[in-house]
Amino acid sequence: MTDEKRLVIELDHLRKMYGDFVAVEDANFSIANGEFFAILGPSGCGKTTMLKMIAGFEKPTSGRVLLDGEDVSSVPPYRRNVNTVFQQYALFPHMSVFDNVAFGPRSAKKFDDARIKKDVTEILEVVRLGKFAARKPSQLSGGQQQRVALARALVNYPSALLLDEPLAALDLKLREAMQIELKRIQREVGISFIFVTHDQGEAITMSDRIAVMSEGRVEQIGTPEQIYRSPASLFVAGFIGSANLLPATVESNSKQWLHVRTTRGIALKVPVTSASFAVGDKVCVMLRPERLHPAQSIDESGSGLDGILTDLVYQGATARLIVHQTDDTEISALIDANALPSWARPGEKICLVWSDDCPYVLAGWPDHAGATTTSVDHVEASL
Amino acid sequence: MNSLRSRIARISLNVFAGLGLVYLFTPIFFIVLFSFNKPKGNYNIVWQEFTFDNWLDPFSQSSLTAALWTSLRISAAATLISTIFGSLIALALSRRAFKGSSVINLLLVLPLTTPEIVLGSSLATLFLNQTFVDFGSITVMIAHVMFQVSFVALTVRARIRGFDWTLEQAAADLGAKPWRTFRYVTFPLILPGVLAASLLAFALSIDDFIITFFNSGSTVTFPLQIYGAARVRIPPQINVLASMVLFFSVALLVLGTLSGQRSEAVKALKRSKDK
Repeated sequence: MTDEKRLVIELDHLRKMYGDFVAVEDANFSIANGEFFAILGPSGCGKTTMLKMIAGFEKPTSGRVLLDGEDVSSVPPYRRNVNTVFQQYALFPHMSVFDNVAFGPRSAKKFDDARIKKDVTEILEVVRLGKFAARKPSQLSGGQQQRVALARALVNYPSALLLDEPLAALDLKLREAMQIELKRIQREVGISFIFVTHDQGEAITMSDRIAVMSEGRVEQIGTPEQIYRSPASLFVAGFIGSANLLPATVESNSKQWLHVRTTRGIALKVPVTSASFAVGDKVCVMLRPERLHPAQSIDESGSGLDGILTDLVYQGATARLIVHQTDDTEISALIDANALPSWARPGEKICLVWSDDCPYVLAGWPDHAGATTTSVDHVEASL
Repeated sequence: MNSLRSRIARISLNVFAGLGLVYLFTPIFFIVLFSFNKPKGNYNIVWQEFTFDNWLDPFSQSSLTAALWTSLRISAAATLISTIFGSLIALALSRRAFKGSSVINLLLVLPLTTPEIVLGSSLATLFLNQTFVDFGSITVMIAHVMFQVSFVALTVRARIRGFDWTLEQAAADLGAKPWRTFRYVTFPLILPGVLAASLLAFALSIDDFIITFFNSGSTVTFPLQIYGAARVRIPPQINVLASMVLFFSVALLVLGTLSGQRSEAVKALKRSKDK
């Protein structure tokens, strides 16, 4: 999809070290014009460092940053044609909204006052803050301040807009509204947005493509669907959405199916993916909770797991089932609340079944077997 | 029972606060009061009768007036220089820790903790051992800048603690070169702290006696003049000039507070209009 599109940002084997600590390791990808691109990862994974290297606040230890095809690795931030929306907005408190937004064009000294006034007024209309031009930032709400920060960055028509956790400071409801607003603004101005976030839901909802990072490395780059359906690593599988991860060993493989046995001793068949596995390999079977269905028994031909239903969490449109297996691991299933069978009661025996194309196989064994989102400690460690 | 206790507590709090204020303001009150005294003889230390004469002729003591002007000139120059350098030191120390910043921190506190008499006499020794400047206004100014710089740097640093340095990043990100960032973003935001520091530095300079005494040569500043004159006579004009300085600084303070309140009021008004 990016082939015929112009590349705005190219990262060429980018690396950043702080002393002995590797903050970013060999980042090597490019972002096309008009793309909504997310850099996603837990805190300390190097995503903000990456953004700072693109903006020019940090110098790469090695590798290059190319902007519109030009090497800008040692160009100071004020000569780079990218603009940043900072996490806490960093609005100038002593200036009005208008002066905040006009700061960039006035610094550039390319246009006269009349043109600057026109540009600023226009962009304030785009972010729907036309009426607030004379106010000071302290007189605005969080969501309004956020939009001033956006307008201030966009008025310069940068090659790309960088957003550092742009929605982290907002309340949940406002955040959801701002997600839609950001998408609308991006469509309207047509500039590439590169945003850093630790919120996988946000990344999936908003982005055209996502780069998932962990411990300084880019683990996978792809569309939200690719990343959700075919995660490249155990980390990505656990970090995006929720998953049930079952450690297993390969017993035999055919063209179409991989036969594995889980550590609990259950034989499962898994469709073969691009990665190839040999007999005896340690693998992990991923089952997404929303693809599991409750059943009273496992069909002879199908695959399934049995256990005791320990918790049934009603969530309105959906219901979450937590099933405790005999090996003390938990499996979570997410089902349509209307399809909840009457026999499914906490404390009773239950089976979870799935269709053949549901399981996805990954290399290696997970640190934590079973559902990724039922253990508080495990979830905390991944944030 | 409880309300009685809280009433007693409130009353005694007010009494103690009042006593504290009396303690602080009695000397100032006497300075102003005795500027209206008509003294008998050379010493304006016993209340005789009320008069406006001193205020109608505040500059009658020409040597006293000349000393005040000398002091104002020296203090203004010293304050300007020390404010610039002190603020730059504070900015450098606040922005990030660098090699040797802890040493500079230590050196900054040194002039504050060293007895003035040591500073004054050792500076005098330094000036005696060189041939570039003679004792006079210049040496007094250099001496004042020396101790003022520390006060300015420490005051500004305390005032800009918590300054959001990402604002400077934001300005650079928007295409502003370092000077433009300083001129339009950093400087306006640290200005109140810089002004406060310069007022403090000015106050320290204008009433300095010990360090000035060692380094003044034949130059006579206001405190030196009063000290010298006090042995012979204490004219009421001393009180008049001192009161003038006092009223001037109080006026500045009131103006500053009022304009602050005014802008707050304007803001509140705007907010209520928008709703």
